[in-house]
Amino acid sequence: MNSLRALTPARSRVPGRGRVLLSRALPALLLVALVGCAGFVKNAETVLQTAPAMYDTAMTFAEQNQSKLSRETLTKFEFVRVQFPPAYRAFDSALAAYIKSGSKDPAEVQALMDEVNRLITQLQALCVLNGGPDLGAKK
Amino acid sequence: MSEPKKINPILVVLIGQAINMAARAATGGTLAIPDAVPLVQSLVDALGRATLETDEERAQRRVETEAIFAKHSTPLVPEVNP
Repeated sequence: MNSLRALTPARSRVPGRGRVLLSRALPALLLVALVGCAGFVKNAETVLQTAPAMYDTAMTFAEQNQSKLSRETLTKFEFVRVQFPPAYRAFDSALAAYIKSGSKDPAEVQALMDEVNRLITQLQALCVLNGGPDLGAKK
Repeated sequence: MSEPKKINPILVVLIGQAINMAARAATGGTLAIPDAVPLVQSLVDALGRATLETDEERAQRRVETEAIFAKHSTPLVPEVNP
């Protein structure tokens, strides 16, 4: 019996390489996921902090160049001028409610943030196409 | 500071246990992290508060933003009355 036991290879206590990698990667993945959840709030707050200054710069440009800009361009600026404030307020309120409630679904806030981003992108394009300031430039 | 985000405590326990099991599996049982659950809870608490703005800063930003909106309240295109 002893001789048979000696011939049988002992079961290795060393786990497979894939298993080791997976088990080491798991905590890292979990941390990344958790940081990702917090990152959404930070990103949204960054948009809330930077968007008004961009809106201000673009609108100031439009006002100062009202006589030079075409009616079509002014109409586009006017559209954003009217649309931006309520979109911004809705996004701001939704984010505050999201943080307070501890909700796990940021879809609604994301949609409102996308709308604010869309309007800012539109303003940026209008400024660039009409020789205005670069809204993305750091001051 | 804003109210911290809440996370399901069951999820915290599961994540903590997963980290503990992963550590044991990775080291062949020589290392265990029995405190993983409270560690994850602390991490979640810290991340939940990870907002850039305090309530005072948010209020200040809103005041400044409303001032910007008021500054640009004049229509760029004169309204056309039919």
